[in-house]
Amino acid sequence: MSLLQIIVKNMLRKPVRLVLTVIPMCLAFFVFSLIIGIDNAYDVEFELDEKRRIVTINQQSIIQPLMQPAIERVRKMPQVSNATFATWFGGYFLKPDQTFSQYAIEEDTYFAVYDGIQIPNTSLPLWLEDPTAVLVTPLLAERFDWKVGDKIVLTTSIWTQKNFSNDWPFTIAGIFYAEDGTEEQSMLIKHTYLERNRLFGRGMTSFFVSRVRSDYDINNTINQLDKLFENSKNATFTSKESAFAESFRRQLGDLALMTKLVLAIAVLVVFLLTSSSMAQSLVERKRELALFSALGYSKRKISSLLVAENILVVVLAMLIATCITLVSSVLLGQILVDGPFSDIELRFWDIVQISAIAISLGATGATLPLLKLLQEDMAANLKSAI
Amino acid sequence: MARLLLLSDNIMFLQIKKLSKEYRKGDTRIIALDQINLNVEQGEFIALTGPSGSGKTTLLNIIGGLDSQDAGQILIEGQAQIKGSDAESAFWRARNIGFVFQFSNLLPYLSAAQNVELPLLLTSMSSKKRRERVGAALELVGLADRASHYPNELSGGQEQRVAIARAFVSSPKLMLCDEPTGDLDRKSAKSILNLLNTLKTEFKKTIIMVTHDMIAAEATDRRIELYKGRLTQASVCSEVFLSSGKEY
Repeated sequence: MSLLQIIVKNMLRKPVRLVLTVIPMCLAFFVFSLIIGIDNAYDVEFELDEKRRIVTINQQSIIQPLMQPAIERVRKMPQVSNATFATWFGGYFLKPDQTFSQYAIEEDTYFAVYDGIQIPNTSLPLWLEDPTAVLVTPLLAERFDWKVGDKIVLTTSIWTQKNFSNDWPFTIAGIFYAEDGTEEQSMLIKHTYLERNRLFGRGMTSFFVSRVRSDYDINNTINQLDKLFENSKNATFTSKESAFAESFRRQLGDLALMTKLVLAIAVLVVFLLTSSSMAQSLVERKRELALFSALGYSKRKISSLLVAENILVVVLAMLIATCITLVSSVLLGQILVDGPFSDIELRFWDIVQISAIAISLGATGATLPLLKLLQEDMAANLKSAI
Repeated sequence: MARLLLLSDNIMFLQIKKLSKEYRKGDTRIIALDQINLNVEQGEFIALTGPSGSGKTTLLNIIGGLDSQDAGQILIEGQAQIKGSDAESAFWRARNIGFVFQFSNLLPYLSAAQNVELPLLLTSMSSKKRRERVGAALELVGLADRASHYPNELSGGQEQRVAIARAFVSSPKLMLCDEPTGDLDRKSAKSILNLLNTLKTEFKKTIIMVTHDMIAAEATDRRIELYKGRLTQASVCSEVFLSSGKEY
């Protein structure tokens, strides 16, 4: 027999209580790991920062447009190697709930800034020739079973055609592959097509994307760029593309705050559960603990056994919850094609982090009850009724 | 009241000198032990009797290092009892003391053998050696065939035997028994007393046993009586018990 066996046997001695303690802990850890997994789905910072791209929007909000000619001033900046602009199209295919990302891009400059995007040669001729041509990601083509040459119509409440129609005809010119390899559903529209046919908003765009030369500081360039338009009618707000992408994709709400709140609640729930469970356990086991003391176990040793037992319970709950999250992420990824729950990703370091939190909670949750134990008169407890 | 210094200091296994202990309950001062002097020989089996609240268990706990005295000294084989940190005191206890209680205090989720093994987990002994020691201890108390049984599968007397094996397994210098027969029927109690006597005679263990029961006290070499924290009398009695064959 070893001390570990004693710890495990102690943990398992009241199975019903163990289950009733572990289940809510599991739920708390499940929510905890799920939120981290969802948060990871939004985390694109690292990949995008490598591209040294910055995004400029209207200082008031992304809904307010920028003037297209203003991009020429950006292009003249020595820090900027190239710049392009794009406009949010905001349409849907056939039914309002069939939405996806659509950007009207300045076709001559966009692919120089987004040089990682890959377009098969077979897609290029139609893209270059047809003004209504669009490029779609493979996932989007698969979703609606689109083939090259298909004629489709997107409806948008943002842009009205000169004929007062909100239905815009397009031709599927081909496939493009997103530069980071992510499975996105998006469509690229020619800006010239939008520009020629829209009833209003001509000369305007949603945002600029500029690439900063490698020998210039990005943050400094951002400041310089915004200074160009300071006090103008269309003052700008520029940020790194990573920050922009993240804030853009977090439109569901303030996910960062929600994440922190949920994580804090989950941690608190586990802490309270483990602490109350330990306190109750110590009351019931007073005489046993006194016996350990009589046998020559120091209070520190006894405390270590109890802390280890508590950690084991929390880690058990954490492991079950993590497994459920991992399985859920795979299942949800298969069932859902879009949205935050389709991209849940629990990374190795997240699991390490959650494990560390579980161990800390197990240890700290036992602390208060144990502090009381350390003050107990062990000799008196040897004759206690329980 | 006369304080008893029973035997000469220089040959004594256990020496207790002017041991005092008091408790406070609010403003009330309760004297638990009042300048106790006691000498015990190696291999002696002593009964500590007295009415409830006379200080018997307090004295036992102080000797075992579970409690501390306000004044006085305890020497085992001439060495002062360690009264340092909790860890030091626990280490000293593990090396020198074997406790047996009124209730066996066996851990219900461990088998008899595992219960007996508990004190040995504090040593650097190999698991093989530990198993041998546990087997020998259970053999000694006559429960080798019950090694894998759990406490709820044993009778009260058997549980107490396992508790004695647990106290004995680490070869302590001194065994302290707090009413070990208090929760047993007469037959079981007698077998426990016989077992303690076996430990005394065959292994030269020094045993101090707190008891309320005068018949149990007669099974010992000597009876010490505590009254209001003071030693009041002593008698030699084990020959009477052992030779009389009196049914307990």
